[in-house]
Order: sequence, then structure tokens, then C-alpha cells
Amino acid sequence: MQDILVVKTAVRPNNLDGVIRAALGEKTTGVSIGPYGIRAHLTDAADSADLTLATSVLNGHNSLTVETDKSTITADNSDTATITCSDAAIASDSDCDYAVWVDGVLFASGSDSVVSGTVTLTLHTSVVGEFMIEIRRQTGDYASGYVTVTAEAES
Amino acid sequence: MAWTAPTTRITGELITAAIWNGDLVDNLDALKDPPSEHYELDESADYTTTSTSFVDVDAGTGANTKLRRDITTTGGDVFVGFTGLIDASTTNIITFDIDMDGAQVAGDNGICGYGNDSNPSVTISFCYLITGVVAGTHTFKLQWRTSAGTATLYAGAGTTNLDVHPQFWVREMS
Repeated sequence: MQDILVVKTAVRPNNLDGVIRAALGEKTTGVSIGPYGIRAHLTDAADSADLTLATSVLNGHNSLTVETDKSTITADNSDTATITCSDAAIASDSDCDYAVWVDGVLFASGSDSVVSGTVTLTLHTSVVGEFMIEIRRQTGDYASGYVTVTAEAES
Repeated sequence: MAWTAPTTRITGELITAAIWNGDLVDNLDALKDPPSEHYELDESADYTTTSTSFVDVDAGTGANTKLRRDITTTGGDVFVGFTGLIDASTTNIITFDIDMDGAQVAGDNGICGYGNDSNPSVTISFCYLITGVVAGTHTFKLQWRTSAGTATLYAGAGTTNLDVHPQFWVREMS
């Protein structure tokens, strides 16, 4: 077993496990997170290029700037938050992946186009809860960024 | 104070102060205060893992840091224990083992664990007797794995209603 450790605070929840497994397949057994930071577990079959890739993925975690125009919306399926990422890291990308968790449970995932260097998502919902939105590169270091939008009950 | 094997005495043998102090006083002190280490978690973040192979929960940065405990034994049995609160993100089986000096003590799928269907948090608690540990310094690390999804160990990080403090301990028993 070979461990890659990056000392940084991880955003939770996240899709680090999915990204690492997609990139390394059978050469990884998973990802661990704790007060020490983030650790990727690679098998003995992983070579130096794999170690470099895993390190890059961990370093890219939460490195993208993701913004929202509203941190709170009303859960009336009409009030809409617009989430954007215009980070220079995605300027040449054609698409980005996204994932949405509600109160820590995966709610939705997919991909969206990068237009003029920006990926734009909209969120309107009837579900009350805390929405964590992740935007993630599909290539390179698979860098990711996060933002939280809280959907409150109609008053 | 280290244990030293007492010598069988015969009638008429002079029991000097050195003999008495060595065979009785020092050895009784050793029994009262055996090699022992423990750690209670009160961390800045809870632990999670998605690893399907056993990995250290947190082996710290050296001897006797975090969930790594090092003791110098005098030859005999060692008792290792852990109690904590775990959670799962999906239907999975979370198991624990001990790594002693680089090798898993129980092997296969570990000592014990919990198979769940994503129900709320569950307490894991075990004591494990490792027999015939040779005299010397030994390193014990708590390890875990999950069969799927994400396993969580709450570690006193302030999580609402889950701000608990697990304990990991090691003690020479004989």
C-alpha cells in the first residue's frame, strides 16, 4: 500500500473517491479524510505517474473558485440561485462535472458546458435543506470547488 | 519498572535486600504499573474512509501519537481495546483490525465490525488479547476498512449530537 497525504482541510461531502477511482481504477483502494488532511490509498501496483496524479487530484480539491448569487433561497421551486465558476483553471475546458448533495446525501450529478470560460448552474427546488454544490474539472488535476445554498421553507 | 523473572529459593538461602527488592518489590511495582498507553479522540475533524483495504485510521506523526500506541513489553500477552461511534453512507460492512509491528493481528476481514443498511450511528467496542508478544518495543495501530461507500468515525469534532470521544488503548497483561 502506498499512501499520498495532502495536508489540507477537506470539504465534506465530496467526490474525491469517485475521482480517484476513475483516474486510477484498480490501483487505488479509496480515500481517507481526517484532522491530518486527505489521504489517497494506492496499491503497490501504482507507479510514479499514478502517485503524481493522485497528489494532483488531492491538491486540486477545493481549489476552484465557485460562487453563488444567493446563499439562501425559498424552497418554492421558483426562487433560483445561480452558481458560477469562472476560474482560470477551466478556461480551456469544454465541460465540467457537477454534483449536488442535500444535507450530506447525493442528490444530483451531471456535467455542463463551459461557455466563454464560465460554467453556470441554476438551483431552484421544493426540497428544504442545505445544498452543497461541487463543480469539478473532467481532466487534468480534476480540480474542484464548492459552494453552499440553503433552501428554506416558505413562510 | 520492568518485570524480571523471580528465582525459586530454597530453605536456608539468605534473602538479601537486593533479592527481596528485586523479586518482590520491583516485580509487584511492575504488576501494578504495566506498560500501557491510551488515547482519547478530541479532534478537529471526524474520520472518514472509502478504502476497501485496511488502512490506518490515524497513525499520527510518530510514536504514541493519535491512534498509534507504542509500548515496551517484557514478554507475554498484550490487551488492545477500542470503543467508538461509527456511521455509514450506504449499505456496507465496516470492520476494524489492529496492526502490530506492520502486520494485521486478526487478518482476513479483521476483528469485528458492523454491517448496516445505512441506519444511524452504531457503537463499536472490542478488546483483543494478543498472546506471546516477545519482549521489546511494539507499535499498535488501529485500522479500518469499508466494503462500500464511506465509513465515518466520530472523533469529538463537534458534530451535532455526535460529539463523542472514542478511546484506543494498549496494555501488557502478563
